[in-house]
This record gives sequence, structure tokens and C-alpha cells, in this order.
Amino acid sequence: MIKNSTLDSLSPGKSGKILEITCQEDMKRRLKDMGFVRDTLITCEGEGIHGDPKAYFLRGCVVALRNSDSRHILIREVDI
Amino acid sequence: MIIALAGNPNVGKSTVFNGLTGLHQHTGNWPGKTVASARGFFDTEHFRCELVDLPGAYSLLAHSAEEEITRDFLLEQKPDAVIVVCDAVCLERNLLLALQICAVCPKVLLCVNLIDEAAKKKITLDLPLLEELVGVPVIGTAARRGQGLNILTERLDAVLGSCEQRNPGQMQICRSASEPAWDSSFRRAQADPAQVYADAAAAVCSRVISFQDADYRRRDRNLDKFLTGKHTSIPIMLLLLVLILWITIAGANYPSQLLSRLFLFLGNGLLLLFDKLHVSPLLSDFVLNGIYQVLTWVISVMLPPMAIFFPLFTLLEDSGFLPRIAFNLDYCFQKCKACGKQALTMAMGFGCNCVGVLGCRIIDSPRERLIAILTNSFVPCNGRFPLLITLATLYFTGSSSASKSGINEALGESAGSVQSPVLEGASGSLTAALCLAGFLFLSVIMTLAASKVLSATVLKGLPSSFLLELPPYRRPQIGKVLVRSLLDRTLFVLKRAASAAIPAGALIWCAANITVDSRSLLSICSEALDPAGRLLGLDGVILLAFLLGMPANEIVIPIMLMTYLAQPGLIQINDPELLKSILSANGWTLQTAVCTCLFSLFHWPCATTLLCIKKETGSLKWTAAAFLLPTLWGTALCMIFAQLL
Repeated sequence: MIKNSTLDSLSPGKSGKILEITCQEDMKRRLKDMGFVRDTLITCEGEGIHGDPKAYFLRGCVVALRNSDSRHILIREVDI
Repeated sequence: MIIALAGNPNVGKSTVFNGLTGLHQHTGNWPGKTVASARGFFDTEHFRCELVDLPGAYSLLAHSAEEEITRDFLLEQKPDAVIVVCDAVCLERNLLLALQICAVCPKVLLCVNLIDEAAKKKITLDLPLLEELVGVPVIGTAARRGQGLNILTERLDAVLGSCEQRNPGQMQICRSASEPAWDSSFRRAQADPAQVYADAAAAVCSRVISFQDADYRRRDRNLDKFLTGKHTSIPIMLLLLVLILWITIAGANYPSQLLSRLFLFLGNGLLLLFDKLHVSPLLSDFVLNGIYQVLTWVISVMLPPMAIFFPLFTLLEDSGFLPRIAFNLDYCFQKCKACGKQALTMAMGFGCNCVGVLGCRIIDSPRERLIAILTNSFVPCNGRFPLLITLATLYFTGSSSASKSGINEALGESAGSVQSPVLEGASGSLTAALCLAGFLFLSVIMTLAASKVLSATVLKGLPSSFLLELPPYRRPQIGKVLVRSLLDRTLFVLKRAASAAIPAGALIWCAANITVDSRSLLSICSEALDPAGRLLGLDGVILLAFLLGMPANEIVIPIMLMTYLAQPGLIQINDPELLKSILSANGWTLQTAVCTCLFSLFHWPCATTLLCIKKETGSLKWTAAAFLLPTLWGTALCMIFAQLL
């Protein structure tokens, strides 16, 4: 099943493809520098003690993001 | 020839740097910036090269001060060649920067580092193909074993020697335009260079890298599950804290005694020398009992714990555990509208607040950086440990019978040992470590509270974004860690502390030896401060000791004893019973001890840290705030405790 959602709703172990980043310009650029661009496959690796922040795996690296930031990243959930 | 060394943070750039230059290097700051720079020299067959270690960057589109320096250096200084260091394990993300640099710099070499780690994870890289696709020389290295570095210099020599200039902007990668993924994305996203580079990197990697083990990150993931798990992360962090403190306390005791004995011996030598040279007794007393004593005191108390703590800290840093601490604690800091990376600067503060303040550079948002700087001295540094431990073992652990044997051993010693001998023996130092961990826990909570107060009042604002890379776990290189942290951190701190201790020694000697109406300045001052001290549950002497101890917190207890006993020089008392009876004779109760501990945790930062804060913030106003905030905090706490309880 394919559905669109935001990155913060991706539960650990699930993957998605990035559709769009709607963060503020500054954060958007920083995310892009880390390889958060359209069509990137991203997997939620795990979450912190309170479910925030979460760790994501993309392009061979693990990056931690707060939910308040990942809420602005639109993804399409995919099965791999 | 000027060669730049660029790359993402945490890819072993400095290992390559050290591997190439050996000891022919010097560190300093970038002009006008507070970012450290390292330069070194090495020779290829035909050229003498100056290697510039650029700060780690993710992109040439600069965001942080570090990235700005990297970009400006590459674009404006035009180095003769650039070596881009990549981590073989996560090549794809590393290629984003590498491709950008290839696009703007004419002579680039790609150093794919950590191929040994990649091999361990059964990742194979087709380096010749990578070279063909990217169009620049590619060298696989394992810098910490020294593998591949000679090939790197050979190929650098060839690149420098050739007059063929690659035309920047026309990456060879365009040749692979037949690649469908590359082609389509290029058409679609021409306006967005980030997308182009990311797609190019993905396209390259899909051809270059092959995983024999599809689940090559199993070990990392399992470690993460354990170290950042819901139920395990906090106990592990606490355990580690106690362990590190225990190692530091137990390990520092003996070398501290050795050092102070050595300094005593040297001091006696100096006394003889001064006698021979017929130096006036007053001057010799001033130099030996004033300056020399305080200086050597600070060194012998400060150096051993620091020389143990900082390498341990660097070990954690190198292994990749530190970012996980920030990850675990970010939630709490987020609630206080601060940055999770503050957890790291706080942890550095346990070693030395000055280093912690310097470390705040890793926080991007200026507001959150200021919060981290202002609250850093809320956590006690090594220098405050002895006081906390001594008082805790004297007053809070009941009797010190657990380690009576240690006392007897140490009774005969006249030379000062750092921690009170109650701590000798493993069980004693474990109790001390536990007590200390309790204090540290309190200080962490207060740090969070103070951060919250700050972000609700003077430093209002929304929590900014938090983007933290969790690098793969690596086995740290023990030997290099030792050397690096000794050289970088310990010596740095020691230098600053020594420069503060010398004037302090002079001042204390004067205060103790200048007499008005046959009373020393010291006792006059302490009497004047007495009402204020009483209000805080302390007394004038304790307050004065904290004031005079501003250059270095280690000397607070010795100054206290010196004033109580009306002695002209610093005093160390090794017998805990004697120590306790002296304190009790001067009106100490359990309440005094608690208040002194509280005040020691929360009072003005030491002079060294204040200098650091002044340098980092560039503002007297914020330095004053950094002075006042913990002072008022501690005053309030002590007052509440003393007056209400």
C-alpha cells in the first residue's frame, strides 16, 4: 500500500521516499546538504526515549531529527 | 604548494592530516575567527607541500562558521590542489561535498578513507570505476594504519606536476549522462544544485559500491538499540558517568601525590638556591610560599585528573558514543528550548568549564549557543571535585570506617595529596564516585532549569532545528587519542590555569602576610564577609576562599584551612578526623557542608572560564551575565536551604 505522510509519522523500521521539504529556508538548505532531496529513500532507524528525536538512515548515514523538523518533510511510504 | 584537506565532519580527516604531516604541524586560529586551524608540512617527490586542514563541512553553500571558512579558502585562496577525504562506509553522502568541490576546484584528489572499516562490513568499492566516473584520482586509504598514504602522496605529486587543467564545472561525471537516473533528474531539477549533486552521487554509488552483506549495519543498529533504547539508555549513561568518575578519582590520586612530592622536593631545592644567592628572605618567601606553592598546587591537583578524564572523553568521542548522548538527552533540552548538542558541551564541562565553553561552537543557533555558554559552569569541573568529594565523605557518608586502613597509610605524609586519603582503596573511591555522580546529576537538572529560565526570559526564542549525524561506531585508536587529548585539551587548560594561578598566589600571599593592627588582611576580609556568608549558611572564611579561589577552584579548601588556622601558607590536611575537627571547631555543621557544596556547584565561573566566555561571546555584557547567573542561582539555593530548613 502506498500512502503519503510526513517523516515524523514514519515508525521505526519503515521506509519512505522524500517528496518535498517544506521547512524554513535555512533548515531546508541544511537538510539538502545532508542529502535530503526528492526521491531519496529514507528509513526510520529508531527513536529517542520519548519518541523524539528520531534517527533516520539515508544515503549511507544516520541522521537524527526532531519531530518538529521532520513534520515538514513529506514522504511516500514504501515497502522494501 | 598549498594543499587543502577537505571533507565531511568525522571522516578521519585529521587522521589523514596527521598521517601525512607527522609532527610537522602547528595549530592556531583562522584570522578573525574562533575556529581552530591546523597546518603542516610534508614532501612529495618533487614538491614541498603545506597542508591546510579545513574544518569539516557538508556543503560549499555555507551555513556555519566552519563551512564558511572551508568555502572561502577553496574559492578565494585557490589552493594548488584539494584532497577530499571521504568515509568509505558512507560514501554516498560524502560524495555530495566531493562533487561540489570537483566542480569548483581544478585539481582534486579523492581520498576514500576507512576502507578497512568498509572491508570489515563487507562493502566492496570499485575505486577504478569511481575514478573514471568522477574524473579525479581516487585513492583508497586506511589512514590510521597508514595504509595508502604513500600512494596518496605519489598521485598528489603527479597531479601537481601535470600542467593539464581540468576545466572546473565540467565534471567528467557528465559523461555518464547516458545513465537514466542522472539524465532524468538533471532535466527535472536543473534549478536545484543540491538535487543534481545528490542524484549524481546516488548514481555513482549504485555502480561503485556493492554490499556482500545486505545487512552490513547490523552491529551498529544493535548497539544503537541498546545505547539509545527506551529502557537501557539512561542507566547506561549513568553507569558510564560513575565509571568515568571512578577511574578519574582512583587513577588521579597516586600521580597527584607523586607530583606534589616532586614539587616539594623542587621547592626545597629552590629554597637552598635562594639561600645561596642571598635573596632577601621576604622575597624568597613571597616567591616560594606565595607563587610557587599555589602554582604547583594547582598543577598537581589539576593535571592528573585532567590527563585521565580528557583521554577517556576523547575515547567516547572517537567511538561515536557522544552523539548518542546528545540524541538521548535532546528531548529534555528541547523542552527547555535549547539544543541537544548542549549535552555534549555540558559533558565537556565536567572536565573543564573552559573547554566546555569552547565546545559550544558546535551549536549553530546563536541563541542556543549563548544558553549553553551561560549555563556551562553549572556543572562542576574537575577542579571542584576534590572539595565536593572531601565534604561528601566527611559529612554525608556517615563514618569513613570503610577505608580506615587507607587513612593510617597516609597519616604520615606531610606532602599534600589531592583527594583526601579517605578515598584510598577501590571501595573508597567508588563511594566518592557515587557521591560525586549524585552532585553531577543535581547539576545537570539545574543546568536544564537554568536553560529553561534563560529561554523564557532574556534569550527568548523558538527552539531551532536540530540536525545531528550519528556516525558509525568505530574502535577508537587508543594511542593517538592519548597524545591528541593530552596535547590539545590538557595542555591548553593547564597553560591557562597556570597563568591564572601565579597572580592568585601573589595575591593570597599578600593577603595572608600583610597585617593591619597585627591582624592579617585575610582575617579582616573574612570578618567583613561574615554576615553575608552567614546568610547563605556559610561563613566569611568560606566566602572569602571562594572569592580568592576564583583563579582556580582547587585552592578553595586550602585557603579555608589557611584562614581558619591563621597560617601564612596553603595547608593540606590529610587526616579526615583532624580535618573534621578543625571545621567543627570553626562552627561547621551538616548545614554548612551542604551549603558549601551547593555554593561550590553554583557560583561564579573560574577566571579561566570567564576569559574564555569573554573571548567566545566577544561581549562584556554576556560575560557579566555568565558571572551573575550561577552566582545568583547558588546564592538563592543556599539561602533557601539555610534559612528555611
